[in-house]
Amino acid sequence: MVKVIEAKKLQVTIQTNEGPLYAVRGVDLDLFQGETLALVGESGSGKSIATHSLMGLLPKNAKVTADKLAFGKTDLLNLTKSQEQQIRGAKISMIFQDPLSALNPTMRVGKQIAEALTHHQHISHHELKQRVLRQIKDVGIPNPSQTYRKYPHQLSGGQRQRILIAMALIDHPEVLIADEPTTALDVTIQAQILQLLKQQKQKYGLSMIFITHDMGVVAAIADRVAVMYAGEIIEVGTAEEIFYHPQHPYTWGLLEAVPSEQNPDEKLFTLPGTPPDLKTISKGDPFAPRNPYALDIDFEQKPPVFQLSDTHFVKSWLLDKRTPAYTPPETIQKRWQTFKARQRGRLNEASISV
Amino acid sequence: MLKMILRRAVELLISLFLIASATFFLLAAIPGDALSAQTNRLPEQARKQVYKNSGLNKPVMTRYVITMDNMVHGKFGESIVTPGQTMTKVLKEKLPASARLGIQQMLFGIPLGLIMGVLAAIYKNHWIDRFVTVLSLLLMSVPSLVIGLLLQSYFGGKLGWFPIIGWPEGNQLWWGGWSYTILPTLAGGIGYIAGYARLLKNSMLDVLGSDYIQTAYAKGLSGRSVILHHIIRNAFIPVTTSLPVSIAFGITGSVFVESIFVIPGVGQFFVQALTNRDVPIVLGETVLLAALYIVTLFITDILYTVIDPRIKLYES
Ligand SMILES: Nc1ncnc2c1ncn2[C@@H]1O[C@H](COP(=O)(O)OP(=O)(O)O)[C@@H](O)[C@H]1O
Ligand SMILES: [Mg+2]
Repeated sequence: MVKVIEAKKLQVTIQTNEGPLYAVRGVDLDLFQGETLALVGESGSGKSIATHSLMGLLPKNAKVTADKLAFGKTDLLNLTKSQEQQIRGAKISMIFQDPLSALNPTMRVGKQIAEALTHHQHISHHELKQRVLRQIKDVGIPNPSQTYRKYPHQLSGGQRQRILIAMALIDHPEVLIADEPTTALDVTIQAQILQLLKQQKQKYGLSMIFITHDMGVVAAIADRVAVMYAGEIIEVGTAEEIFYHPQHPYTWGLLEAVPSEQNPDEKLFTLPGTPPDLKTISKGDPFAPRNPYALDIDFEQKPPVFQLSDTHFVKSWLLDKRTPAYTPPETIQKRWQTFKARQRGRLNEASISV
Repeated sequence: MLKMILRRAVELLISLFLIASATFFLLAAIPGDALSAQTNRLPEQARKQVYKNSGLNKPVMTRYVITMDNMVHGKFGESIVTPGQTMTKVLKEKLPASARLGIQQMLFGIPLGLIMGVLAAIYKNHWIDRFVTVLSLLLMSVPSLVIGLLLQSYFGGKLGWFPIIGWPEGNQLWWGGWSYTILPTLAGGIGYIAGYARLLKNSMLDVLGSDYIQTAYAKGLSGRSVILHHIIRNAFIPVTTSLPVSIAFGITGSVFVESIFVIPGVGQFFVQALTNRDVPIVLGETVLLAALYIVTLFITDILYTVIDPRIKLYES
């Protein structure tokens, strides 16, 4: 598998008036060609900061360090301004949470899409317009030439997100970073946008980082999932591993917060407590104070990374050999059973096919 | 559009009527009047005569009706304090100097302020920003009177580059005689620089922090294109709201600058009228200010719809 993005020990520190804020704390992250990696975690866990650093889109007071931060063979850490501009929009693109505020209110949307292309390619005015119109049509907006002339406030929320997608993809980038693109939309529109993203991804062979805090959305789109807490990735695995064999109590909490399909309006389980203050670095596991499964060592020492499979990595002392036996919540146990059954099924399949 | 203009015209008339009435009654409510200072040493008989001549002896309501009736016919009446002086004459003789001065000050100060605001925002925390910030603070805290006097003594007196006092008259009333106008233009225009620099810097910073600017960078646009195509236009929206006030007050004269440069404008005259409670003139002045304000407001409203497509002037 080809890595399109590779980050090793990525750290982002933001200088605030009250001192440094450690927003991203040593993240290892790979994005493989053609996959969708979901980045999940509560608000404030550093998902945006971590991914924006790939495009150099951080606030001026942020400082990025890493052992490695690369897009393919390109080192992203030491780019000149113009190299940075050549990557943005053309190699790595981005869509945002709130499509209304992400579009310039005083510029026609057609022009806004066109800008994404003109900067990287010198093409005639006529051809440019044709490309934009095709692109608008391509993202499922029925009357492109009318839409071209509209201002953002004249479109619906779903259409605006489609425009942003059109803008992000018109230059055929290799990577799309979608920063909570469905959070501000209502459920039916959400599903349509997810559908559109999947379809566009197929069409262009995109690799995608999809940021969300909604595990339901993750289930609908992700090949792999990375769970972020307080600036660290605390568990990463294939979608199957994260949904059916989750190991970190924080991941359990996120999964329990998903409304069940039977009664979607049911009061959601929310994780008790609040995320830690990112200005301080705790001695132990930052999740320990909120963790009902916390061990003594959690307050003393940070957990190392435990590997469960080629693809599944967890930062939690629960996986240490010395940890006494524990029982995860009931719903999680059920998931584990499903996982086992599937594994067995697969083994059987495999033995049959051999 | 025509309907819109008509509606605005009606609104304008109603506003002017209300403003004039409010001003009239406020002036009437304050004890004393325009003639009390002049006449309190006169014998009873003479004083009565003076009051009778000016019409001030009539009851308030009667005076109100007469005044309003005159106003509807375009007459503001004769000054009580300076007999023979009427609003029409004032407008003809004194307003041009003030208006030209105000326009020149604005044409000098506002664009310069806007440019400085843009630079300060782009180079935030750079020495350029610090320079602009300190300069605006300085210019804001030093009154135009002091600036005027300094300019006079240095450029007029010491260097002798420009006349110290005076203003072009006759056929140079609106155009020409520039050397006379330079120092007064600087003295008053500097106030606009500070105000507009701060206004635009702040609105630029607001825009800079908004999501669509991040989108623009994410597209791969250069800093220059982002500033030119995305920031400036949006940052100008708040500026259009400040223009009407500046224009209305700018045209109707500035007391200090006019008095130290001995400019035959309306500024001083209006202030005197107010302190003397010279009702016809004060009313005329108020109505003029309000009309200018409302008309420029209307023009900037139209400007607004050009800059910001979200705003619609007339409902379809
Ligand atoms: N411009 C900024 N200045 C200071 N702190 C910031 C800034 N942007 C983000 N942060 C802080 O960095 C942390 C991570 O933010 P973010 O990456 O936006 O979280 P997420 O996307 O996971 O919700 C938060 O604690 C947030 O308060
Ligand atoms: Mg975010």
